Amino acid sequence: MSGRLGHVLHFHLRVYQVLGFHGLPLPGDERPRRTRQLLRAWSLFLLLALSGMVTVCLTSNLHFLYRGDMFGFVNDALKYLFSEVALLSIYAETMASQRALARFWWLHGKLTRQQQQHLGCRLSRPASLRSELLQHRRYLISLYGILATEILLNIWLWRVQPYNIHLTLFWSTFEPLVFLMYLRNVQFVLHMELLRQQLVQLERELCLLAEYSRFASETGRSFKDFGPFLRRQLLQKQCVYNDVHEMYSCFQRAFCYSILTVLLSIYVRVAVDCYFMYYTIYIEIANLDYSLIFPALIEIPAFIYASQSCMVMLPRIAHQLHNIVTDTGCCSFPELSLQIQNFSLQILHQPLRINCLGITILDCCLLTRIACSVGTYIIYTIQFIPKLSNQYW
Amino acid sequence: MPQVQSESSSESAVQPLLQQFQLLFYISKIAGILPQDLEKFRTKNVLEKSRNGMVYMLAMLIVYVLLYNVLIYSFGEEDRTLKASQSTLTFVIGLFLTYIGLIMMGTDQLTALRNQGRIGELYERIRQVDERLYREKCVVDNSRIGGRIRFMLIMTFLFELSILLATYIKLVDYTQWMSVLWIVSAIPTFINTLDKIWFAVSLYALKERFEAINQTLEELVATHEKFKRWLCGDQETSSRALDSSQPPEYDSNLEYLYKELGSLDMGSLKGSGRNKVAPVSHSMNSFGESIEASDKATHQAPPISVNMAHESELSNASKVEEKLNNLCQVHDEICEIGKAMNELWSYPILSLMAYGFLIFTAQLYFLYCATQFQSIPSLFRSAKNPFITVIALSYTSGKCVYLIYLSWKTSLASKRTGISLHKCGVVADDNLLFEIVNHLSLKLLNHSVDFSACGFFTLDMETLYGVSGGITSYLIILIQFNLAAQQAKEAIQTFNSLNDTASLVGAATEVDNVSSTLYDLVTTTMLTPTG
Repeated sequence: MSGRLGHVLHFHLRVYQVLGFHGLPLPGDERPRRTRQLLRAWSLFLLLALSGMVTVCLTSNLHFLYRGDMFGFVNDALKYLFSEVALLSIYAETMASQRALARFWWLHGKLTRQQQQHLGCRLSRPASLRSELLQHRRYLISLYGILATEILLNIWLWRVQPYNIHLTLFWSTFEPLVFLMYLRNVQFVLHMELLRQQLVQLERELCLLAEYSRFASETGRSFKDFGPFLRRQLLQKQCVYNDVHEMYSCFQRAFCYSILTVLLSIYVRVAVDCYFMYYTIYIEIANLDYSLIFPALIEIPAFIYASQSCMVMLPRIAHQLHNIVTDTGCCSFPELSLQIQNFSLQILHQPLRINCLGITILDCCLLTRIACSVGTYIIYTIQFIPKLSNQYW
Repeated sequence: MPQVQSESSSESAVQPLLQQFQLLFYISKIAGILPQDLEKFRTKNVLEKSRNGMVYMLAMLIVYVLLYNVLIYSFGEEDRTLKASQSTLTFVIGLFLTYIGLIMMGTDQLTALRNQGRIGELYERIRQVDERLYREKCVVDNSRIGGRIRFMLIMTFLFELSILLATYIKLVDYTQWMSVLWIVSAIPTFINTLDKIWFAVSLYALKERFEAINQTLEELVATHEKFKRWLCGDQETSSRALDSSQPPEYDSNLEYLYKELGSLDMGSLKGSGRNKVAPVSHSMNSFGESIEASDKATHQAPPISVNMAHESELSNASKVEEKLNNLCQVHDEICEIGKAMNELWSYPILSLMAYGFLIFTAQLYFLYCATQFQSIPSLFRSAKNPFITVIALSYTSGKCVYLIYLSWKTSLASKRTGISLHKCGVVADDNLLFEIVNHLSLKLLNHSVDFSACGFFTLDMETLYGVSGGITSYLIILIQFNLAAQQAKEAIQTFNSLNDTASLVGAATEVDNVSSTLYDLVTTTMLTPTG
């Protein structure tokens, strides 16, 4: 990892380091090797501590899990189990796949530095905090929005909710896991947002090239070597695209398992809590803990929105690329057209599809499917309730 | 003549892939999975048709089928006595799945019989590919494949033995001598796994060949980058004066240039244009693997490195054209081999996937039944113990998921060749080479290898999504049916006992009205909700 990071990035990466999610030293750190080893050990320690907690919750005789009926018991255990799997994959990835992550940040640094060089010395002074906040606004909104909702809901809930030993025990152990899932999810969003910014920049530059060539062909004015100039620019953009694609594949390699497990554990939690929500309303208990489901409902859409907005950039880039006019009236450039073809083929070979381990593409289609399946499972589980109550209630 | 010579020399250099398969071949020959000739394989490392092998294999198949039927018959007696207490659903599922293992094994063996000639051809084609790759200075290392086969065999034995022994000791009544027959229950899965190891390892070999091609292309790119850095370092000394004289505003700032062009007229454009082009071409230098190195190259005198090879194949377009063409042809050939291999194993894979799906669902369902103290079919007795169930499930799912994962990875590796090819083009930056790359890239786009099971579904990770969803849904539905059936049974039992007391009461008091109203009451309350 090299180059300067902005204040916002620096601060948030530091937070992820403290949580054990980011196993790399930051640019300013002294003795990077030692920091990396320490971070690795810290991740391992956190993993062991949290796993110990989950094991105690699953095996203890106290009312960590719901004891009303067998089905509810299994559901609560499922929530713990999937969170544990997610934790395992998160920390294992932090410890194991550091190379891909380091490559991601190195490429990010390289591309930003190139952009700054292109913009010239006028903007070479460090960007102001305001512009940085503006630059990362999507990430910041999704991070602090969800955190604030979660905290406010928690405060409200524990003031209103009458005391119940099961709820207290359950939520005091499960809530930290929930927070960890959230922050990991937002970490994915951060990386995808950085990827998107690079793509947006590339699209903007291609758009400029296209307008530039259109202008030249309409007015018939161009300078000597105009064609070779455009071709060189395109070649440079091809290199940039290659780097961005490598950033994408590094992102995939660094996070594929934890994307899968974190999304799965959030999904399981939503499905299970929807069931409990119906159940508590059905048998009229005064538990309000189902209201904690609402921040979880925003989580998956926040992730999918980030990945979708990253993926929709690709057709736009291809569109802008083919907008470049090769025939400028006075002279045509067969070489330029060849270059455009080459770039276009390159884009076809290097598609940007954010998927977790190839299992499914993370776009809005997935959101529809998740909503459908949650609905179906709720209908199934609601059918259980009268049968279960006959047996156990 | 020289070509023949080079071929014979490369033949000695390239080891046939089948050499690594020796252990696997002997085991599968004994188990009766492959009909090919043992002697020919031992002496020449080729798979050839053999009549004796065919007869042996058919005999083994018949023996297995007979033994399995004896097993089903002898262990099925318990089922017949238990039929009354079992729920109908459990009984039907058990009956339906009794023969699925046998069907899977039969598919494997009959397909192997049908394919006995063609499998040999497949490995011969792979050997030819190796030779062609060798001529392009791209050596494929087969030595790891042998270790891989050994690891897979050990895993198979471990899983089979642990399932078999644990079930035998914990769940089979081993005081009777008939219980020894239980060993037969492991045969279908064992034979199936051996057959799938053949497929998996061959597929892995194809993946390695794709990766070797990608590696060669990447090496071309890397050497050319080094070469370029060396070149630009050389030119740097001459162009440095020009570099420092230029104002930084000219540094390929697109927006700036665009504004300039929009506001200025023709005459001044021509003058300024030349100045603007120069730094752009200069900025192409930043290809370097590490920014530090290329930064150094632009600001300081070039680092003098003596041991670096200052030549690159990519700078000679006509020479590299041949190489790229050859590599792409080999890529095509590997894709074709992959398709042929997929076709040979398409029915076994389909039956394996069907088996995996059904057995996974059934085993989990029977596990649920066992936790509710219901009786389950005797062939699925391993479901009575959660730990054995976990081992059995991870064995079955491991087989299916590994095949899917490997097919997906191979497909990805074949697609990555296009990316590496484009890198070559971009780095070389030569118009002739761009034409070649465009042509080959289109070719690669049209020649991708995707694996499927008879065309019913593709073998990539997306299938897992559908399958896991299907298993969950079916499991929930099955459990609901089971709950309903259980409740109906309880209701009937209570009704019967109530009926008995009612008739007793009726007999004692001799009042028919009471018993009939009680009877009506019981039928309406107990039987309506359960239907």
